[in-house]
Amino acid sequence: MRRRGTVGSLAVALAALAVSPRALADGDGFKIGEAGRLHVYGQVNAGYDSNALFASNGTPVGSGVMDFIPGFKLDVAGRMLSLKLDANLDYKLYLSSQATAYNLSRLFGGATLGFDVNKDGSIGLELTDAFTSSPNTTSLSLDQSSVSNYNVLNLAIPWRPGGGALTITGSGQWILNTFESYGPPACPGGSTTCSSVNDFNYNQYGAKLQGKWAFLPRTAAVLEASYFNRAPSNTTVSIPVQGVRVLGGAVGLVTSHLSATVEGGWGSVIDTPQVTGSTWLADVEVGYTIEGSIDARLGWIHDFSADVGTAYAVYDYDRVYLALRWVVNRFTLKLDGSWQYVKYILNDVTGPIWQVTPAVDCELARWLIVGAFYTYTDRSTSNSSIPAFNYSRNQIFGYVRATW
Amino acid sequence: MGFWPGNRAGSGLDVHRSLPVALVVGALAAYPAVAQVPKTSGLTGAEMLDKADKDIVEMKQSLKQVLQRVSDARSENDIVKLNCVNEKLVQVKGLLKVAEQADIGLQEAVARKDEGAESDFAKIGIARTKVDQMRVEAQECIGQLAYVVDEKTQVEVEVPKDLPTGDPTSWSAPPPVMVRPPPASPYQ
Repeated sequence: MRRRGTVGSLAVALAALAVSPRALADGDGFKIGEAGRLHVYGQVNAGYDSNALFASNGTPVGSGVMDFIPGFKLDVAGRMLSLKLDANLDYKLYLSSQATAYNLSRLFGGATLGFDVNKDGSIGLELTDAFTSSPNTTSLSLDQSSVSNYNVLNLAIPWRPGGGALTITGSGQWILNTFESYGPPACPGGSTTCSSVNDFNYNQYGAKLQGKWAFLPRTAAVLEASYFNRAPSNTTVSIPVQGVRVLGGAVGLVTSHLSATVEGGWGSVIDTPQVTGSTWLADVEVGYTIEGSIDARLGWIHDFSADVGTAYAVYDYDRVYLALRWVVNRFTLKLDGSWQYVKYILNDVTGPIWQVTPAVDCELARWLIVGAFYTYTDRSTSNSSIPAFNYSRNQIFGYVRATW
Repeated sequence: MGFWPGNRAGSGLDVHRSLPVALVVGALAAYPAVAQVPKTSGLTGAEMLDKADKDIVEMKQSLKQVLQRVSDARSENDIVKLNCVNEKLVQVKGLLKVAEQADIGLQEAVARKDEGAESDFAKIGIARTKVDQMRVEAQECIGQLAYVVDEKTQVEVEVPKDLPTGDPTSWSAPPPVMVRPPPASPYQ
């Protein structure tokens, strides 16, 4: 499923956040067999996070932060089988003199694995798995600090009858997200409204059937239907939610440089006694790409999602996003921004989440890159009593990365 | 049916060019004895001259079109098409030559008020009909590329430069928003 199911994008996103916000050049690596190559890399980030933790009076406390990220990548590109593996560890070191902040230091990590079998044949097999352990989470409803261990497994079987213009893909997905406590107790005083964070663990199962007809070489009509079932470990603190989506439209190149995505559909929560309702769906995006020079995307999404908790179990949202990449000689200038307006279905709590990240990379050598980025995040809601839903955060980091 | 069977593509690679010309000239020269044509056109001498001029202009236009086909076949290096079109060209040239000679005879006969004017006028009309036929047949000439596919055949596909790599039809939503609830929240 793509966000909705998107195994790929989510996995990439999680891996990217665990490593860095940019893709970097590689060195020669080590040859493995006839078609394999192994790269090892190391990255050091150093910067400042304005919201390392909250003080007892609710004031954000900033801290210097360093990340030490060793990892490796393995690429095997065979005709029948291709394999990609990327794994890394991330030791996050808080440099604050406050013991509370310093004690947040710990080891995180992530790994992605992808198999692609018979990708040029009439029937293929795609298997991907992505695991990330991080203090960041895609759960917008979680109001406690936690370590999110997120694993998503996706299996897809594309069928390409008649040469590949038409592709029918059936896929299944399994997400396992577990949480560990992180930092000081999130609910001092033992509030009854605050559960142990690992009570929010959940499994989510999904299935999707997609038909794609490439009526031009790089432009296709798409029709897909998907189903998901979120099964929380503890149904007293989280609601089981099931839902379906039907989506159709067109995607691909409009001109040699201009691409567009226009999709619309309908989604609904089903067989969930506590929640009823449906919503329309939309994916609209315009992209402009000059290979090796410029890549720009501007889009808008309207969708819904299940989440942890009871009153915050389902929300729909509008999201506008922008992503720019501009390569100038050795430098790559980047700008990522998004505005997401969330509306919870059961309690009508609403609120926007802003995020903007300008960044620059400099390729000193093919294997060595230095760079810097700044991220500003602002979240607010109509329920101002929850600090985790109302904050501003500034992060600024520099980094150096070597890949061989 | 015309005076010559239509020569189509592939009818022969080695064309003897003088044969069609001889046939054209011989057939038209023998026309009064063998052709079933009206004895009189019903036109005055001036009208016959005017009609003959228009026919010759049309035949010259047809000649230009066939010449263009010859040029195309040469640029395509297609010997099959070239032979076919050349065969039509030779016949068109012969017919045009006959028509021009008949036109001179027509003018002289009209000036003399000779009844032989009808014969020359008929020759021009028949030549015009045959030239039109040759022009059509020249357009129908097909070349070896139309049916020859062997190991030497190469298909070149021109792809615009700077096209995005990857598959732009595999769109995926951007990464989801990630949040980090800060530790030690005072939330009660």
